[in-house]
Amino acid sequence: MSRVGQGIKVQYLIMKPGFIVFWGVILAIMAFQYLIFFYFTPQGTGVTPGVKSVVGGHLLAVVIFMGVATGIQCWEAFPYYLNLGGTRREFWLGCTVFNFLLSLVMAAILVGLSLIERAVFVFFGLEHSFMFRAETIDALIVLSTLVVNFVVIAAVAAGVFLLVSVLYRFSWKLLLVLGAAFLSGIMLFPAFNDWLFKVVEYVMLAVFDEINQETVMGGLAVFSAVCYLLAYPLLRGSQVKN
Amino acid sequence: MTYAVETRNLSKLFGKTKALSEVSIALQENKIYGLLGRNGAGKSTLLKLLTGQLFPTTGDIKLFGETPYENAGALSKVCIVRETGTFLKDMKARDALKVTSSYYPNWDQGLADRLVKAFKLDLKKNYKSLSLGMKSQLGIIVGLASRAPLTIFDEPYIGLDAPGRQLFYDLLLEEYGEKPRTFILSTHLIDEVANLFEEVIILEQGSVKLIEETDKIKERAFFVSGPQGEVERRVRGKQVIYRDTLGKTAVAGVYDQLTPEERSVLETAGLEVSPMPLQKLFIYLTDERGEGDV
Repeated sequence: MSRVGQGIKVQYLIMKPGFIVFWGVILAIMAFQYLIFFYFTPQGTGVTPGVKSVVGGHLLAVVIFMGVATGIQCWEAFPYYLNLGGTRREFWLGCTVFNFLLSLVMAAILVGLSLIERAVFVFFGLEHSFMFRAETIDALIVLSTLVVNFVVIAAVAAGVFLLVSVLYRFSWKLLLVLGAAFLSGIMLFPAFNDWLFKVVEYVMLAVFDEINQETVMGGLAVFSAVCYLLAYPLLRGSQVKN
Repeated sequence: MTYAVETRNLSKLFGKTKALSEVSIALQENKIYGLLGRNGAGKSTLLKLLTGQLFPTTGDIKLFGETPYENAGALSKVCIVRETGTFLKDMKARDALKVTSSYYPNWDQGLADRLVKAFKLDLKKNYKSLSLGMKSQLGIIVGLASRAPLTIFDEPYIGLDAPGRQLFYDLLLEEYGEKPRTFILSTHLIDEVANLFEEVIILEQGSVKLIEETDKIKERAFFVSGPQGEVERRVRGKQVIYRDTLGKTAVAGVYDQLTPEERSVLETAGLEVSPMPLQKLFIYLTDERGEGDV
């Protein structure tokens, strides 16, 4: 196996425990949800009388997990990888490939679970607001949902990877100052929010003709690519924390 | 001549703190080096610089004639085992060995398996659940089985008990005899390993205080003891790095050339000449209060 392949394996080994725990928790939550719906509530249908709608889906949980896990994984892996004799370029390449693969796996699991949830709730004749709300679903809907989930998850991973690269290249202090300035701008100055939105809109419209789901996805894909491209020179100039 | 390690005027600053200052060393291939220094002397910084983990502020580094920065070829010739940072805490010992093995082209799996058996190491355990001694054992296995042309042990055996350390020293010598390569041992347990070193580097406050072959150190480092006046008279002109008196008796620690004739003169004058252990030399040379400038 090539050294980049080994780098991916390192990432996998770091991520494995968190991955198992995360999906274990999600499955436990689902099981608990079913228990409440179909056992504890009246009439055995699991629905409170008069309420026939349930809300599900775990995209937000997956996004939060990816954010935290990618951050920890890249933060821990960098010094370990250099200590093994790996180069920064190999680390960057390994992280990039691994993050894309993991995002794809996470999106696929998410879609699979959503399909199972939908099947269960449709079977019991319940309304739901999962990913697959349409009356009938086909391969195209499943595929497009997979792509949307993948792009969103991958963008979060890319953003966090860039953040970790900035932390390694510069320092916590700089990032804290920038983060505090950014949050202050958002919280204290509504005009800053408008300005930020307009900038994003302007960039989106400069690249795409209109803003819709496809262009948002395109924008996120470009964002991911830019994050990885920016992370490379940052990591090339980074050293382990003493 | 190609050296295993060559540094020229190597300096490293962390902010305004100078961790290393103008370090110039040339370490030959297939020798065992001892890297000694007090806490904060710059040993770990030097080793991280050699392995490309840190960037020098000024100066050059060459590993087997190549710069280590982003050089997979040069880096694959080096294995560094540190007290911390060599393994990931959530990784199983078996996985740690598997991952590590793939980075070293000369990795000897047979040797790794033998050492696992010799240390009775449980590979199913997570690294973080291993005892301190077992963590050290895992590091030793990686260092020895890597068969990297430059193998660095940065205090990884500190968690071992005395028999465990002795086993490590025996294995190291056995391995060195079988497959000679360059070892750098950074340690505080100087007396225990003094006999392993062929050459010693002493760092003090980021600078090289001494770099010398162990045999030459043995020749040059000695105590002279006897009547105070006689000792003072006979060591005058020599590099005295330690002095002590007890009543009318004095002891002088000397780090200097001593010819057989001079030794004979000292002994004829009723003075006792005894060898200075490496640890004592290290203490005197790095004692901020002492006279140990060489």
